[in-house]
Amino acid sequence: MVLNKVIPAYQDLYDFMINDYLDKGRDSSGIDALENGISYYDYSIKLYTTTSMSSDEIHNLGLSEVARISSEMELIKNKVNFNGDLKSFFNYVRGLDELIPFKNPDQVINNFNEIHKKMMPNINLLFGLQPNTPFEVRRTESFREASASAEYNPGSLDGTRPGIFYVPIPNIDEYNFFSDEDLFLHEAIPGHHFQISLQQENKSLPSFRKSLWYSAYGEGWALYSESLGKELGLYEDPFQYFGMLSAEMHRAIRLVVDTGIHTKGWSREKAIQYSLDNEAESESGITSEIERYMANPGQALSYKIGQLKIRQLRFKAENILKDKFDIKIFHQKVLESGCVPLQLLEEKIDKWIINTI
Amino acid sequence: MNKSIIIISFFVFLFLSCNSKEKSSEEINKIFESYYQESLKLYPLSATSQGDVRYNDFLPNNLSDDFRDKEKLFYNEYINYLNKFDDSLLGEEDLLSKKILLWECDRNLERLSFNEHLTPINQMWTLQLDMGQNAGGLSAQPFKTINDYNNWLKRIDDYVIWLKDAKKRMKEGVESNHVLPKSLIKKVIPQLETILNTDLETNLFYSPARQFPSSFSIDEKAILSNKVWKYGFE
Repeated sequence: MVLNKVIPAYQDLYDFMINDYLDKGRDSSGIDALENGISYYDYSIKLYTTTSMSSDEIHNLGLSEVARISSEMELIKNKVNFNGDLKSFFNYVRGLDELIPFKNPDQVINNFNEIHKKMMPNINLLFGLQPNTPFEVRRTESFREASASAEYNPGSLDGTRPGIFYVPIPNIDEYNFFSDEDLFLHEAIPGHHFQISLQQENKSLPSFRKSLWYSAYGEGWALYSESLGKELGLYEDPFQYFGMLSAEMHRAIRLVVDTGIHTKGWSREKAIQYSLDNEAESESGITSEIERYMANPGQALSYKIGQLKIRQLRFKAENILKDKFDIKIFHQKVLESGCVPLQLLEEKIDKWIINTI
Repeated sequence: MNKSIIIISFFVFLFLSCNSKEKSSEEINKIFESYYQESLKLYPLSATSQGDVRYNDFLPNNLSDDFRDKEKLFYNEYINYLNKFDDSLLGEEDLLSKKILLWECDRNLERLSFNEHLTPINQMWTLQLDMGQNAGGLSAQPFKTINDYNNWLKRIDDYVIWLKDAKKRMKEGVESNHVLPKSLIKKVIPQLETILNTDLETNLFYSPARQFPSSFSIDEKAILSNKVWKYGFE
């Protein structure tokens, strides 16, 4: 099978790509260079953000978010008395000894469990509806640890396998924990563990909705969860708060560069430079990210748009309902139906507001 | 698919003749379930990744005109069924499910109006990468029983057809200026190159034969190793 089928088929494709296709490839970076590319991008925005926002709206929102997060980063930089620009502050944080304290991988796992314990009382104040699926933090298995990212692995439907938050620790001597509170909120609680487990546990959902995934909703929820840190009693340490800002910045940059590449004639190089100027990632990491946006127009918009939409719905409900606003019920309304397009989530929340007034 | 459409049409007919709230809920949930079941057959890799083993042995060629027509028919049919239900007779969750499903159908029909199939391969999230992961034996495609191995060998036959069609579609893309950026093509080429390796110890697609379950007999392992490396199904 491999020798007489798979390899010949790959060889044929490989020869075509090297001898013919590469030469015919385009020099443009954006999808707008293709026929119907502009309407394809509009479709991609709708598909991935599940809203009817325009590319200009998203681009401008990205610019204002990048500016806002930058100024918050400046505040942290001043708070810890660092003299220098943001770029050198990024490097300083990444190499700071006090943020690389662990000698043994178990300490990393214990620290996550401590974060969990610390916020539990406040979780109970903010969330009435919580999943029954058990939860665990584990170190990523060694065979895949080197190339793995921190991730959430959903529990089984029958409850026999817990939801697992996997943390790769390929080298303990280099493990910087400045974004660990943020990471826990996103991947674990109240992020993906709450969101995915509640969707799986909801027995009244028809089958097609049990496995439904919209990243605007799922990743939007996880990013919204990151922004709950202070309410949950976390981010007291300025570096942990800086960890959240760094993660948020990465998602805000995506709004600018994705729309820049696909509707504003930004080259791959211009997008790489813009990212390098605004975040603490390596050039090779940024290059893969930009090429990912080129390959999948619009997908990267979903995270930040989802977060902003959920925050906006909360803000609206708080403003209209005032004393009658109950954060527990708001969170229940957002989570109980599982993944839904944000347009429909908004309809649902609006209906709840009207019925509660 | 046609058979189930007839069955559904029958349900919708029944339902229209007695429209109460309770009946509406029962009938629309039948539509939801049949949509889900048919979509698993249409997109069997998705069934595999959900742990549903029923369709592990095939992979439809989603680049073919036939398949794209089938998809259009599928989504249009479901829009028609759903639109037969009166919103005022649906409870809140059923109405939400109806709207979500309409949203799904609409986005898929929009997708089919574009020419995504002319750039079937990129470096990031296209089929050859999913199949590579499955071939590694540590992803969704199971390799626990002899049957699992035979399913995979059959699925590979379909995949080889897909690879041939991918090249054909990319050639069409060249004709109509619908191609990938050069910078991305340069990332795909080395990914394809790794598969050309003829070393049994390291070829990714030979991985399942390097990690047989211990329950297989020596004879079974020998036969399967040979099949995975050389023969497969015709």
